[in-house]
Amino acid sequence: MKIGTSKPIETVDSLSLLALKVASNVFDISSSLSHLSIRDQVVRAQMLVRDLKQAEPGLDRLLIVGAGVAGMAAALTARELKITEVLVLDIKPEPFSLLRDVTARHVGPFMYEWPSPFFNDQSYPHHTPAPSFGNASSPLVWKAASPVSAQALAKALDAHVRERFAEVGVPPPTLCVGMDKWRISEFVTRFARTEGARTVARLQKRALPDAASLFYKGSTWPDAGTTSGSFVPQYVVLAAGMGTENLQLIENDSRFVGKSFWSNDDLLDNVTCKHRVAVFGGGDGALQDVLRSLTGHEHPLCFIRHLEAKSAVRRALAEVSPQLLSADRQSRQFSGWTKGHTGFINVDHSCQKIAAVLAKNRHVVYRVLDGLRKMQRTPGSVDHPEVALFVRESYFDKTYLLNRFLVHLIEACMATLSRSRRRSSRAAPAVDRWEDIMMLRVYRGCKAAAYATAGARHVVTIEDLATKAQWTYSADRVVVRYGISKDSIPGGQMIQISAKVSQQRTTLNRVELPFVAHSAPG
Amino acid sequence: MAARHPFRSIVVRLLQIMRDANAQQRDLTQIEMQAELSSYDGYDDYSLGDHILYDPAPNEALSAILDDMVELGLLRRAEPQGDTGFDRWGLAATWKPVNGRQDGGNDLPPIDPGDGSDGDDGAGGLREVLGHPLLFALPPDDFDELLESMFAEVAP
Repeated sequence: MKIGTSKPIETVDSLSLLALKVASNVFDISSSLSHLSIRDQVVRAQMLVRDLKQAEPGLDRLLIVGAGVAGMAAALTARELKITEVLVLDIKPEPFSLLRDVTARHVGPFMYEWPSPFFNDQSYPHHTPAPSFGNASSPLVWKAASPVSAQALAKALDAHVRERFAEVGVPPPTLCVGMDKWRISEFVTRFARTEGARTVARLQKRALPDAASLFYKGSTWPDAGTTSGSFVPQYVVLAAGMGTENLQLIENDSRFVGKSFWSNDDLLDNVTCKHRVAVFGGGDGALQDVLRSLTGHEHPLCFIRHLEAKSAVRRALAEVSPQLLSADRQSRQFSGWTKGHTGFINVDHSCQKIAAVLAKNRHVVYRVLDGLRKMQRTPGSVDHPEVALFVRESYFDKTYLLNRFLVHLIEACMATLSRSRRRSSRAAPAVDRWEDIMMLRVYRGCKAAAYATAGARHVVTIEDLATKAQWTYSADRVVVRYGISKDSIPGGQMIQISAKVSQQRTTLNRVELPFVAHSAPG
Repeated sequence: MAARHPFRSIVVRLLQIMRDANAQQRDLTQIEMQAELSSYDGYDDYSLGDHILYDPAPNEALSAILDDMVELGLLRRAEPQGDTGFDRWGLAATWKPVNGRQDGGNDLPPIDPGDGSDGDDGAGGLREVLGHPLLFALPPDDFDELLESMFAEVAP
């Protein structure tokens, strides 16, 4: 049987377009809940602009809202694809504004791929051409030897974009900064409505309403000139943030609001060793801050480097790497196709089991405990400095394997230490050696129920979600890492054709992104 | 482009806006109309436009024009929606614009499988889905909230 028609059929890539569409001819590449790393933002932007150009070869006018990593990656990709008129709007005076002043947060492109072989590459798209990545291509490029601060990354990207803007050939995107947010959102609303009406009119073979025109006026970057004019985009790409971070410790109680993830904190400072630090949340931000507080390292990857500096520990980790990678792959792939937390629960349990096995290895236990900070007791204080993690669920939710595994490993090694302290045996580690380390305590299935202060201390009432029992935890420092507020991110997409309201929603954007995009062959 | 009388032009543009809103079964507040008018490339030639443009408060001159249009039977005052407290206007039932949809019907056209004989797929395929107001789009309220939260992380 012959399948097909007499006409040539064109197969087009559409996953990015369908997954990221939020309104008629409007796409959002930054407020998805899944896959938010800097590398993901670059690749997502590449995929979207590539697929847009393929869907509409005549595309020559693109509006991009937001000049962060995602927005600038989209703009430069558009230029590479010879989209001649690209206008980028931002409310801030320069691109990458979110990262520019942040010295306490360190980032890298592949760190969270540990234990994959390339996890230690700190440059993007990669240090050296690797067989696994082939002809990797990225509109944003940076080089580093170790995880870099957000500020350093912003500087590197700034320099790279300036170079790219100075290249001859297709005109660079127009970057109009210092715009008024209201004017941008008003236009996008009008654009979406107009494009919807135009599509319906086209389907009904009626006369098309006029396309929406944007009048813009602002400063240009990098030349600090001024620009104004009318722009009639064919598509709009939203790249203006991931939503609002939920920093309020207790819902409907604004007495304690934590510091933003992208701000400079002092968890790495020595003063933390004198403190009881309470971290609330079960995702990447929470686990990363637990690890920073406990180890004093800028990034969890630095702790891996500390562990692997000991050959016996390196061998032990290498032995469990295939199991960890398998669990991680299965979790990522299952979660890409299935809503809910099953994938995270399974990988969490796998990590916990693997960590428990490793915590029977004396070399591992010694190395882990040796890598933790020494507490500095305050004379007269009854409480010891420590780090406490409070998680609503019985498992760590969506988080990278590196963070998840390290917290489980530290917890398991501390359990070994506690057992050794309780019973004296020849096999027990020399417990006195770690008498002064900062301890980690993980409280699962609980939430902050009330908040008060006592002098300079925070007194948080903790409620066990199963038994409703309450107790108080006194902390010198409270870190809230609940992630992005669900109220500020879009829900699912409608999957209906009739205008009759359906309550069904869906999303395609859970599907994992590749590590890099590839330039076209030839 | 020939010079246009400011008030005539704004009224014509207003009628186009209301016709399109009617096709989407929507009534508009004055502020929503002002936002639509701000896109009109002729607005800045007119003294009225300076006041309409990007002014988040209702504009007196526009109010007067709307009152006249109601009196002429072109528009009607609609019931307020939600708790915004703003009056809304819709297309008068007596006006039947060409190519308009008098019932405000929101049924989108049925899909015509076609026989492929016209050979015109220039506006079809993926572009139909991308431009569709419903398919793979967020509900309007969610989309509005998404725009509201733009730049939230870097807001002072």
